[in-house]
Amino acid sequence: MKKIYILCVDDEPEVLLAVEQNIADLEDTFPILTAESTAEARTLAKQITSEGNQLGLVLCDHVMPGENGVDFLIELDKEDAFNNTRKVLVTGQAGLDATVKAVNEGRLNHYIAKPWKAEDLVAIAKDQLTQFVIRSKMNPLPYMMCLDAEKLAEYIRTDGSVTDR
Amino acid sequence: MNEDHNSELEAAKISNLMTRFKGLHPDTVSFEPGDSILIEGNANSYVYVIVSGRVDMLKLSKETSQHMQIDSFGAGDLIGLTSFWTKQPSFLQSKARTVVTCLRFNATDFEKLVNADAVLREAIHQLFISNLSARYRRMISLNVEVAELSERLEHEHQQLKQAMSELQQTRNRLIHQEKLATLGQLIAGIAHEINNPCAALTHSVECLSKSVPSLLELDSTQENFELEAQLLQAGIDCPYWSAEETRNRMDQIAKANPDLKRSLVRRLSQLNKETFAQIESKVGLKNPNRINQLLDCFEIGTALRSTRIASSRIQALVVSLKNYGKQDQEEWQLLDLRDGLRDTLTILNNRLRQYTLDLKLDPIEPTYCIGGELNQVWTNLLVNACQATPKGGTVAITSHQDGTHIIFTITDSGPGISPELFDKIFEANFTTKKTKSDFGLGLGLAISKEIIEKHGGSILASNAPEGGARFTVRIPVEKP
Repeated sequence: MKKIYILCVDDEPEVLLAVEQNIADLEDTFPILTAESTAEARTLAKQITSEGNQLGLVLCDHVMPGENGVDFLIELDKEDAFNNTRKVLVTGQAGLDATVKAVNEGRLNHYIAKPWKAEDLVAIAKDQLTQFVIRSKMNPLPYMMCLDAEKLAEYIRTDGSVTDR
Repeated sequence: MNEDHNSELEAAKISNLMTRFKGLHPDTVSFEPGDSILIEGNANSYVYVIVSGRVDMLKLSKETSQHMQIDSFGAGDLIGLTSFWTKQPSFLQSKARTVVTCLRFNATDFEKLVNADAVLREAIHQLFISNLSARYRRMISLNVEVAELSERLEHEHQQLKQAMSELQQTRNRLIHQEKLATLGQLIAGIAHEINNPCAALTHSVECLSKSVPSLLELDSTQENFELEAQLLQAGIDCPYWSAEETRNRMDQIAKANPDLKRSLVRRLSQLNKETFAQIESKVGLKNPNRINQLLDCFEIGTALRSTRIASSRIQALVVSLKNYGKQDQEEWQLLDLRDGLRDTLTILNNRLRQYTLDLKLDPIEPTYCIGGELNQVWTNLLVNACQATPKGGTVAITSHQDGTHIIFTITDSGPGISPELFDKIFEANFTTKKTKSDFGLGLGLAISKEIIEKHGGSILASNAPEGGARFTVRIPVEKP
């Protein structure tokens, strides 16, 4: 079965550690990869797809050395392989213009303000991954335990196409 | 002026008199334009009667050392009457404006003229009196005119003063708005700077609140307790692993222990190698309960480490903020200018993080300055440099001392400045930014220039040989 990855990007190690520890419970279903820059993140994203797996969710900081988070997420969205990938900006401050642009273009799925509450981050991650599973038309059964079971059940009822892809 | 009261009539009267009084032989004199007839301050022994032409009466102004025109006379008017009669130096200068013909009477002629027959004397008296009274009337109307003019001048003066003070107020208001706009942006940047360590603190507290109570419930033997304490300390002392190191560690552990859950692999990957080896040998990886307890101890340690690092970052930021915030103290102090620059760099870290910062700050002497004001200059120059430079570019800052002056340069790797704009960019409201609202009102460089000039220094725009704009600030060490 294809694995669905979560990618966390932040240039500050203690913030990156906080993100990955918050969503640690998801890791046994959704392997987590971390990156300290968008360049590193891009390499990892390509690696994930080249190994035949999928990138389900990116949690990305905005202000980082070199390319910023919004630009990275927009670029990522333009690639077919990552079109369904859920893109979440985690930041203390984004230039308003950049955020508005990303949201308007429909390339950004959620925005989390620093500092966040662990339970909120987990809830958002689960919700976004649920969306990913539905939009990618994957078999939702393996994720019922870990994600939003109600939404997935609704999806099974309306879509009616539970297969073992 | 008094062209009106000249009269051909008077001139005719005089020639008539002349013909009637045969014994009188006044000279007929003529003057070319620009010739002086009477000179101010000189004695005068003639009376002139203008027969034709026009004569300007001038007075030397002591204030401006220039001649002001007081009056002008034409045919029939008398010149030199006052100085002739009073025997005092001539009060005015009279100068021919056109070709002028006069009859000139000397003292003897004049005596004869006045003592001629009664009819003639009467006529001459009338002539003199009408001439003098015309001058007197003219004098009065001039006085009135002067009074009216000065009143109007005073009124205009008041209006100018009013306009001037309104301009000054507008200017102050704009400078204030610029400061507020800059401040607003700075605060947003600082909020982000504080939010990062804040996120780490929040997470650490959550982690501690979860792990510490369960740690206290452990009923540890002495040996277990020692291992727990050791892991706690290892967590406190552990460095941050890079994301790449973490991945490599995880791969290593997963390879050696393929049946471990990935979430456990991640937690184990955070341990340093010695601690990991110790757990492996003393506890083994097949005892999940005990491993979780020990990893909790380790993570309490890393939470304490994060707390320490995050709080010291906030503290450093607050120190910089305090130093930077002395902006409104208008106090001359002896300071190392590099300190203010470094504080500004800390405050702007959020913006500057997206650029490579190339600092070459040579030692310099302490300099008399108003530190807070110079911070505003550094802020403006650095923000401009960031805005002109594509993300990922370089901002280079140098300092050195050249005898009596400290010299700073700030160079960006943006497109540079068109040479014809080198001076213009210091004008108020000059901006190349497409959206004016991004940062301030376009007064940044104008204000910076004013501040530097107040310090007796100068600011110069140029382009670096390798491209990009360069601002050079020179500030004298001594108080100007």
